[in-house]
Amino acid sequence: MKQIISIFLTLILFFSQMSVFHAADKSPDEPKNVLVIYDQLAMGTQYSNNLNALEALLSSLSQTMEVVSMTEYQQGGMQRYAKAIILKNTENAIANDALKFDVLNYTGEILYIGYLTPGFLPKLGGLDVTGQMGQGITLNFSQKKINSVWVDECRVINQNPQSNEATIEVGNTSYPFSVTIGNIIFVPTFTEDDGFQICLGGVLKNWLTPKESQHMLLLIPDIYPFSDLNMVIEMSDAFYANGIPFALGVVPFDDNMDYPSMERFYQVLRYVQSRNGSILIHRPSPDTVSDSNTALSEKMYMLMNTMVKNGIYPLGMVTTEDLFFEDINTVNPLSLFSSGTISKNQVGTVTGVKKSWVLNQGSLEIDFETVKNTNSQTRNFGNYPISTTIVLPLPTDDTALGSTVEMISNKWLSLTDYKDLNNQWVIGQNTISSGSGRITVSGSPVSLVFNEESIDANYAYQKPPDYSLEKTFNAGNRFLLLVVGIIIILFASIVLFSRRVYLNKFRRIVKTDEKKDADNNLKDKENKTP
Amino acid sequence: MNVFDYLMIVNIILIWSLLFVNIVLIIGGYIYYLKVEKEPSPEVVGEHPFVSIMVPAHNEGVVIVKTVEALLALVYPNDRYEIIVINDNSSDNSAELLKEIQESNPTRNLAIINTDNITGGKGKSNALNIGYQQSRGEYIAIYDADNTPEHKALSYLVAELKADDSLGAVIGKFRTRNKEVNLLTRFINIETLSFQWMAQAGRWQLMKLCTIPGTNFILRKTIIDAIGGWDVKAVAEDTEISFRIYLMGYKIKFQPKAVTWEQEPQTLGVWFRQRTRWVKGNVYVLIKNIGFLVDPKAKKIRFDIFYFLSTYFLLLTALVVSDVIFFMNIAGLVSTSIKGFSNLLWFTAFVMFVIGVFISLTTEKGEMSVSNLFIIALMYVTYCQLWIIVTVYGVFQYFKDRIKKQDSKWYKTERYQG
Repeated sequence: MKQIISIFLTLILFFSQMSVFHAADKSPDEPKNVLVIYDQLAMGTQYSNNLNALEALLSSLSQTMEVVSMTEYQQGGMQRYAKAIILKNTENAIANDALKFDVLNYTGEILYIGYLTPGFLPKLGGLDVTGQMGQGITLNFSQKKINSVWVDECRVINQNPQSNEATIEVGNTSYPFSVTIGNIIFVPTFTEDDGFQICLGGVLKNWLTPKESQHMLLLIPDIYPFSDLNMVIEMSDAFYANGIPFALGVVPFDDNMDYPSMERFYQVLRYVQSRNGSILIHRPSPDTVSDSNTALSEKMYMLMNTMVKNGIYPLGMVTTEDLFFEDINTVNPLSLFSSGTISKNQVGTVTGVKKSWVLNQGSLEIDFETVKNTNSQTRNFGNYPISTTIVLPLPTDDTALGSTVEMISNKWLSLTDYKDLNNQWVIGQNTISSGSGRITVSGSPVSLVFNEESIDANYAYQKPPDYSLEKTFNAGNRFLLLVVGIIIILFASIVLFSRRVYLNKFRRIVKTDEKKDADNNLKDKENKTP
Repeated sequence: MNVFDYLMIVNIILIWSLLFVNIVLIIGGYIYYLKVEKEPSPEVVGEHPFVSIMVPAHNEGVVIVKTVEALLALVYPNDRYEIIVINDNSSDNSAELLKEIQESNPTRNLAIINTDNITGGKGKSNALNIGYQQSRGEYIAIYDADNTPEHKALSYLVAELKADDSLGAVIGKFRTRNKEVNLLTRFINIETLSFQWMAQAGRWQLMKLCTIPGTNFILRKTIIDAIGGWDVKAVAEDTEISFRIYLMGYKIKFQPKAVTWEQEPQTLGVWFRQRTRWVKGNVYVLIKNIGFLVDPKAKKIRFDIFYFLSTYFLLLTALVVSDVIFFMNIAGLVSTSIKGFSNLLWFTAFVMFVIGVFISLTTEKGEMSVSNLFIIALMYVTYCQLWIIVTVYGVFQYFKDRIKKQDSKWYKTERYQG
């Protein structure tokens, strides 16, 4: 019987590894899944980051893509793809005849987002779309609700939504978030807001990867040796005690690796792993690390190997979308991660073909505040319609930690342990894998039990002393700012008033002087007169 | 909390308290300006009193002729005032120049007293005492040797003093004659205007207090008789005489319509030496009169003593100590753990300073300009910091002289042609 079980487990492991390899083996030259055509970035509007938001969504759904603007689009471009997304951020007319022609003759599936252009997609011509300026709306999806999402211009489709579909609620009226007519899905309103991203994520997921399941992760980002490591330990204990799986986003450091403070940092990370925490690595910016990707790769190899030697097993990557696309293939060992989380850019997007590495397990980053603002109609929160990573900054004190734990527990969030996902990472001769809550290195399971090691106390991190009278000074500061502000207003008023006094006084004097001069000139003339 | 924390807290309270005192004075000064603007110019009622104008001069050949000519041209009955120039141990051609001007105005009451290094050369107070011996007027007016009073300046001063028996002295306003020369003279121009409209007009409006500025003022001769002349040890004789007048129960009024134009230092060295003398003089007067701070009879000068005390000791100490602690903190030599105020607050305080000073400029023709606004901002980081240095140096020099038992030397400000 034992033999049967072990054979069974081996088979499972074999197949799971196969699927991971399949994903990780995707080459950059593999055909792209989706063509994204956009009209304009619409800078200065609420839609200026829409393209970034859309790209982040596609990446988190492990989709490769080509991004092209409407002006650059060339005839026949759409025919190479089975699916195309058209993002219309402005009301401007479409001038590219080749695009118009291709759209009319396209047999694949289209997701159309944004402003409708008359005649461009005849199938959508029959829709009654109305726009309303400046609306606080509610988004409903998957038995969840996000309130008070502000939209500068909310366009809605005037028809009754079907049950269980995502809706936009304006006032007391619900409208469908999207409609499907033939081969076209139409989403009238989209912004970069987390709520809209989640709703569109649901549409995209059903459209692109309907069979994939969703998960929800909790990420505490930006942890480095000088973070409040005591809080990291406290938080790990609190999460562990409440059965909350989580991941730490560790900022890579390549200097002073042998310093005791770094050893202490590693010790804390090992402790985190022992408390059901997973370790992810932030993708360093090339600007801050090196201008050479080769140098960056070397540094990252050194860092990763040091971490593994110290019993820390990074399972994935945290990156912004621009960095993910820009150089990921050239920065080993980052390209060898199979999973990670992607956040949307805060900078302008780069168009063109995205020669991206595809994550096997991608997820969309959303703010913890979004989760707070989401009301679930079921006791179990369940998942969002797309895999998400909830980003929670490291709590600043015990009170913040307590309220966070309480919030997560009360919401009944269905958080996934990162180790349960099939992750894989190849570092030199070693391959770190995870799945079913276990981590293996080159096939051998590793223990995550924490053994404390003594570290030179001389290098103990000393928390800077708390400022005395902080509250008093903060209150004094506010009070003085108010008083000084009032005085400035008073002074400015006096200056304005005195300007009037000044003009009245000195204009009069100048006029008197002018009169005197004129009189003198007259007298001079009289004197000169023979 | 360590000792440096407590020091910082005391400093912060001191600096902000004095800042607010000055804000109140700015507003008070402006109210007085509006009041004066509405009132008609003061006129002498009845017979014009006889006035002795005293001009102490030590090597003032460059400017003295212009000054005496301006005094001779005053709009005041010629037979009702005399000009006494005390040519105090001058080694330049002042004596000849004064003689010439005396000879060309034989009908005027112009007396020239030439002293040598035995009778004179002991400073402004001594020179004034010499002139005072010869004076015949019931009022004494003092002008520095570089002054060009406006024609009606004396008349306004006399009118105010004659009209109110409670006044011991009346001071006028002085303006900078050479303000266009360089940035330093522009700074001084702004400084003198803001000082007069804030410290003089503001104090007069709110507390009926003023300090004699050293020039362009008039006082009753009976006061000098009572106090036995000027204190020859005082190098800031103006502050000293002010305190004495207040102790006698008189008030000193500021009459801004009585204007004189004076020449200010054009180089940093001259400015530094002049201001060092002022600081030393004021510290002398302050220490001499510090006892009055707790004397119930000296209620009137308590504010002034406190004002000087806060300026020369408290504020100065606070600024110096906080700066020293700040730099020592950076160097890691001491540590403070108090929170401190935000940079935004310091910035708004700076804006408040600039606008506050600018208010005093709006009272004068040609001064309400954008360029002056920038000059004030520049003053904050340059001129005001120089003031700290000169004050520290002056206080140090004063105590050095005291320890060495040296009398303070009266530094004569260098004059310029024009």
